[in-house]
Amino acid sequence: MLFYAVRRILYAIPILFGVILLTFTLFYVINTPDTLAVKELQKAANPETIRQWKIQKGFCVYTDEGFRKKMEIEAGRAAPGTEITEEDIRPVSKPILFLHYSVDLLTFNFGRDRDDRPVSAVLLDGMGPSLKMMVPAFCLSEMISIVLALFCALYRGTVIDRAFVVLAVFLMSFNSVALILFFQKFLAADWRYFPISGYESGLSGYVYLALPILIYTALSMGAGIRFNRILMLDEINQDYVRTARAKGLGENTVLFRHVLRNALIPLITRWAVSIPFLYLGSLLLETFFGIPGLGGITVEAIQNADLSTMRAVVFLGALLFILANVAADILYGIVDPRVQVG
Amino acid sequence: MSRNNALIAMACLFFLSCGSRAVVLARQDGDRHVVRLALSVDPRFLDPHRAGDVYSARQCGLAYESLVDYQYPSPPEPQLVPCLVRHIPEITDEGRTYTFTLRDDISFQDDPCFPNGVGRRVTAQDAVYSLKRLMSLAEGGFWVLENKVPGLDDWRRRFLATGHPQARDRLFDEPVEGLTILDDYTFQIRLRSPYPQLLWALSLPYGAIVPREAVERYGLDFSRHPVGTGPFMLKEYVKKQHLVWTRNPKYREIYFPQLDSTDIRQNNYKNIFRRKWEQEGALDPGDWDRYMAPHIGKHIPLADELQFLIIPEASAMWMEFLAGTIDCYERLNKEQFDRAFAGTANSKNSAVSPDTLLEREIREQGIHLQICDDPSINYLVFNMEDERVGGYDERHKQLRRAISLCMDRAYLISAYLNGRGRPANMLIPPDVRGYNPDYRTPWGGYDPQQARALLREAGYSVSQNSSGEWVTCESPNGSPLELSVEFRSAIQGTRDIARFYTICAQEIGIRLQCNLQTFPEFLRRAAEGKGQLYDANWTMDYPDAQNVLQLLYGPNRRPGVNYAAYRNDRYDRLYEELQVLSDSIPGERQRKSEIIREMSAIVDEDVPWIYLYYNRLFVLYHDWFSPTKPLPMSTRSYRYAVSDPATRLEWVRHTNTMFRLPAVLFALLFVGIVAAFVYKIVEQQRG
Repeated sequence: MLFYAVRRILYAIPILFGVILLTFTLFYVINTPDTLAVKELQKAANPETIRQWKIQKGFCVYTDEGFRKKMEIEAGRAAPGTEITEEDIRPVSKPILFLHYSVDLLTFNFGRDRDDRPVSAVLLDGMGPSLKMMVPAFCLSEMISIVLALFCALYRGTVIDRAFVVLAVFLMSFNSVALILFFQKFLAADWRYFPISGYESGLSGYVYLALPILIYTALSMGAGIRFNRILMLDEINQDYVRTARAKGLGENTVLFRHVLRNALIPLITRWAVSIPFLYLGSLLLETFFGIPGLGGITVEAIQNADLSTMRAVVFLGALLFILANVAADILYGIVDPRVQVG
Repeated sequence: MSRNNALIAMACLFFLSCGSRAVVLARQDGDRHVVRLALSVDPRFLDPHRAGDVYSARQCGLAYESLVDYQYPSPPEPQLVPCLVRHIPEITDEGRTYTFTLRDDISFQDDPCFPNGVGRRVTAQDAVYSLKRLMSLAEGGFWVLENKVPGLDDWRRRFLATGHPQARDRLFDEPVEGLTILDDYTFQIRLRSPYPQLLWALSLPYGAIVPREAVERYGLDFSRHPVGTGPFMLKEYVKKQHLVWTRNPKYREIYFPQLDSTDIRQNNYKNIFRRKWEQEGALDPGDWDRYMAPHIGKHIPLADELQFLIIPEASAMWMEFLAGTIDCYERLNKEQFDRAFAGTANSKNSAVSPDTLLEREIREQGIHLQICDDPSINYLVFNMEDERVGGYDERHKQLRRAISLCMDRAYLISAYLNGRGRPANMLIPPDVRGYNPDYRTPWGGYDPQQARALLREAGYSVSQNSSGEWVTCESPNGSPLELSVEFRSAIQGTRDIARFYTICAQEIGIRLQCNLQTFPEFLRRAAEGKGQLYDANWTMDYPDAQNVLQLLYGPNRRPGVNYAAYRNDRYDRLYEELQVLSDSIPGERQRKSEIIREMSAIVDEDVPWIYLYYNRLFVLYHDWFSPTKPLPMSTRSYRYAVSDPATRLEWVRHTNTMFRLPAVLFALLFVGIVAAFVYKIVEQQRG
């Protein structure tokens, strides 16, 4: 088991390297440093601030002459009007830049965002609300969809089964924005069961998160019911279920001990793909309900061309995805020992 | 209690604790006067010297004050009054020397950065330090003193070239030729040449006085840790959630609106000031009763606390406003406008009573409307270096004039903006000295026929195709004329405007391609001169025409503010003459008006811009909220706003009652499903 786990972890290393290379190419090769500087500095962009930005971000260093000039200006010995110009700095070579970039990412040194806040602190601040909303929402939607799928399996072929299939298709085809607006208007604004928007840290914050969690559950339940229903029906028709029933086992035991356990492998795959996205939150829900999560931070970073935040979010997303897949591979081995042989 | 019962009880408790945020907050307020407002985004900086955007500037205006401030109530031509200084500074040496005398009763708010946490007295040292600090920043408001004060630009260059933090700190102690401290409370600014806009520029947040102790203690975090002399102190800031400002107990004795203790000791002072303001034209009919009478003589700030809730989504903000969570609302989009207003806004009716424009349902909720002109202009910029639309030859001028003539501004304002604008008649917006309501740009009307005639005169081929659509080609056998417009966002409002431009251009056979960019990308393209037309807006920093005329000054060519890259020697010479003329000297004021007329004529000849409209702001507010008389260019008007807690609590309690029937029906449905599930399992167990 240990060897299997180590092997899966080793497989992840080249993938991580690939991610770093890809993001480096996207952020640093396709765009020139000047373009990136103008995008990030926005109205403050002028030749002087652009030059400073390039040095601060490690794209350029001073030439010997430039360094001498800088020291003279700093000491107040330079002739009036002496200025650092474009000739006084030179670009850093791409391999060196890549090396710095990789070391920064691997040591989680994400730098500062465009408002001068440490990116790691910004992400940590955003990750809390996102997880606080998404973890219960994800668990609730999965739990409900599994229970309803079992319910459908019990009533397979009956009106109740069909009713749930219709409900699932209806929920799947509902536009998310429309559903959010609908729930927000009726459940919060008109009927006043929930606050319209807002967020608070601590347990009292769940008052504000209740409606977003409910909406997330409703939005993801449709696909969940459909997927789990097919899974359960596949399992419920297997020979071992018939054998269990023939042995006189109760329906509870058959459903929860045998059927559910055997349906776990596809479920783990689904969860492994979904879990890394939980930290990113739900952009729409965060925006509509004013939840200060990572979804909003990511979109804000894209809109403002905040390079440091964008690359941190992309890297962390990729890292979590890789880790979740490694964890899923290991869990397969635990749930089904045959997997390790393969 | 069994485990199941406990769970049910917890669920019930949770459900009951939900409900309206408005009621919860109103109860929390008690009898404190709390003003609650909403922001769609966080302010970028709470550092006044970096506060380049409106959100940041308004927040900084709570904690910081500048040397001078706008008079409130404002006369038709805004005036400055002393704020941190005893009197408006003495200007000598033909406008080159300004001597400021600070009040001796101003202290910084208490903060741990000071010894024993007690805020100290503000001195001339602080004022000079603050001016140097303004110049030490790579971004922000350094432009207000750039190339103006001898020695300051060299000091800035040295500062920016210095990397070591301690060396940078030492630089602040070095003297600068143009900044002189005369005594503890007096200092002088000497200028290279007259700069009549200096006081306007210093009334911006960039002119705020900050304590050196706080800047050094908080470093980069200073932009989230304001320590000022203003009426409010930051109590709590949770990013993306809220900002809470509470009354600064050390704020000096000042009474509504800008009176000191001597003023209010006069017998009958209310009538004296009322007459004064009426004579100045600062009060319109009804303004005294509405804005001034209820508060005159009360201690400033009027509110005990200001809360800003961050609500990014306009629909959620609107619902929070209708629920009474926030006191006023100014982000009306088209759908909300249609719901709140009975038809398109009409300035004639609104002058009598703006509330008559509101739907009855909205009026009955005790919601009122305030309308004010925003000193800004919306326009289209031509890239004057583009080979198709730029250039100064007659052919290209005619093309630009034709495009200007095909824009149906009246329709744009009524159909797309619900009347929240006024057609722009010149490049200077209203409420700015130099604006002339009688001036009419020759290309500001809507006349597609004349536009097509101009195109034909210029050698373009304009004809109708078989389906009746107009097609303009570069030459009789040339390809159809296609132009592109760059936009700064892709939100619905921008898309609507883009569609409008496209439809207008079709009237003269020009195909417009609208490129909806993100703001950084828009700025990059504009700064690099990529694109043919840019959709633009300029909000005045101060009410001096120079502030908008600089946008076409040749040396300000991109990446400066002149995105058009417009160059006209005569215009540049006139601008150079205008920028040193003062509005307060009658002879210079007269000359300034003549120059503005001539500059407007030059711009109308070359047409580097298409003037579209001036914005009008529509603000809705609840009955319990007492708004301020509009003071558009000031960032410090929140100190005059207040809410009545008792009226608010009663209103939100009455309005926010829970509608229980749907919840009961849903609970019954849920119980039914669970029962069916349990029944089936029990049945199968038995079977």
